[in-house]
Amino acid sequence: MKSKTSLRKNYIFLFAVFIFLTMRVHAQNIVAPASHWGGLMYPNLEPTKEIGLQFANFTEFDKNKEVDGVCLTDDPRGRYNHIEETIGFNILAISQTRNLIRKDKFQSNFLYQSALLFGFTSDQPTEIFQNEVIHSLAGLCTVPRNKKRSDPFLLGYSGQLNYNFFALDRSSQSSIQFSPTPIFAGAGFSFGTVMQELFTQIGFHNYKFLNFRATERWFYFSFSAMSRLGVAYKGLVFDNIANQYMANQASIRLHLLAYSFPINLELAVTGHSGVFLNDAVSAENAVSVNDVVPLPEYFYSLRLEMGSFIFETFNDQLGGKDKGPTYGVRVSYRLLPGESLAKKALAGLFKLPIFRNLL
Amino acid sequence: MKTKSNCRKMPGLFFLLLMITVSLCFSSCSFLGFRTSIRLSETSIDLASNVYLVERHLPIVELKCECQPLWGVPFTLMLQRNSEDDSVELSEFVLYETGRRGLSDKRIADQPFFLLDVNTKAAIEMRQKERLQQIYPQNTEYDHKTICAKACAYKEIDDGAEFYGGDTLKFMEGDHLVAERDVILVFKPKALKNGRKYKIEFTPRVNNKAVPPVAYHFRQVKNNNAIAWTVGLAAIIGFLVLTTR
Repeated sequence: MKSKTSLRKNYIFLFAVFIFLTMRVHAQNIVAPASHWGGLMYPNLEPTKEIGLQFANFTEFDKNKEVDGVCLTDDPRGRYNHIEETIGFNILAISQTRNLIRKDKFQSNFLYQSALLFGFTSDQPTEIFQNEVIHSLAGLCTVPRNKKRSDPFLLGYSGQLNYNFFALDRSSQSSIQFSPTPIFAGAGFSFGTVMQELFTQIGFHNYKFLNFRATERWFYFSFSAMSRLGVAYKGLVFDNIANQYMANQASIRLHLLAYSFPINLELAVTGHSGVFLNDAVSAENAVSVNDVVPLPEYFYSLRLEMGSFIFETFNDQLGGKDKGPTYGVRVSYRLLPGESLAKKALAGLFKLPIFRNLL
Repeated sequence: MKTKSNCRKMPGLFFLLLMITVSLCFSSCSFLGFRTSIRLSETSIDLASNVYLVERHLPIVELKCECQPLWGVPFTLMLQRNSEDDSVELSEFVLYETGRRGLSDKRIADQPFFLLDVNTKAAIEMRQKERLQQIYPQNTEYDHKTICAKACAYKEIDDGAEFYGGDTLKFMEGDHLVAERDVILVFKPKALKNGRKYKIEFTPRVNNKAVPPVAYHFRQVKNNNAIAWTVGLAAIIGFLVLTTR
């Protein structure tokens, strides 16, 4: 009962922060935890504002063993590492990407993407979603929990500076065109209660291929890939992590109905050298200091963009496991430049019949 | 037992140095006018970066769509001046309804445009006398300079300002528009009908010379939040069910 009250308070707090921040700020985190859970890391190369909710689950154990088609209770297939608790991240992320003010050519094409993260750790709703929805629908054994982490408040800020390369080219009418290329390079940082990071990255985003004039109205494909190298330092949530990592991501995006009703569907694979270590707490699983290495991770990710909404989910199934950084979900709303969610919400509110009658 | 981190050695330093070198190389090359070999398709240019460098000495004027061009129809206008002396006027924002079966494009008169964002100081010179009279009824002498000074001051562009087809948008002295990628303003026409096809066209004047008009075709499609949420959540659940084994 007490925990339910506490959870309710957390949600009320998150809601209050949400309302307060949306007065001016606008959303999406680009680093921990999502980037280490397989979330898409590509930077925005256009001025954009997003606000979104994120859920990520770190599970202490793998799913329960199955014997003769029957799932055993509280008998997991194994544990992940020394972290003796299951952690559910519930995060409100608000981000903004903007062109920096530029005084000369050399400074041009720089985009700064910043994100604020607020949230708390609790095993709900990630546990229900994992065990009661996904594992239930897939007919899999549940993932057991022992100790569950509960932090009342998570806070984080991240920023990254990216350079988007442009090219001068000629059109078929021989006029000179000034076109953005998909190539970017950048560096960033993140600090907060989860962990601290510094990173550099390079890659390209949405390079078109299989793009034919006859069919592009209906569909075409684009390809993206990037590499990120980072150094990490412990935070309050994760106190013993790898001090550097490398993450590589590649994705293919299907663009549907680009001229009339654009829908984008992106499928990504991520290889991560790992930020979590293979050390263990119990005596029988103890690893000597020299053998402690990061646990590499592999993820599948799916991203769907429809209208102003972005839906994204990522899963560690590519790595053949169901423990540690196991899955995550993000839902974001993209605001147009100049828009703020508070203005939109208020405008919507005053359209309600009760307010129309009052006015 | 408390264990100590001792990570596998990674070629971090090498990668970092490589990235810095590549970044510096690209930056320098870009600065010197280097052309990258990646060529975007014509369509992507039409859709996402409709940029025309009309003559060497003229600024680049661009009309392009935001990331999601057909949702809410915001247009981003990008502009580059080659020198501080270049003067640029954007006028004749004209909106047409197109795609009318068996009929020609219909010009929509006096269509207000709504500015969503602006990154530089600019002013609208309002050329319609009637509307100036509405704003300055006490002014009987409509001397152009006086009107412009007052009208410009009055309508200095800010988020949320409105202007109309026929108004001229002038960039004020001291504006810095030489950057390669200045987003000058984002605007969208008001009161578009869902599902209809439209064309927006404007004719910039650069150093008092007209440059070819730039047009963009679009279709007004509204967000359907219920459909987006249903499909989005179904996609998330379906993907996780398929990939969880």
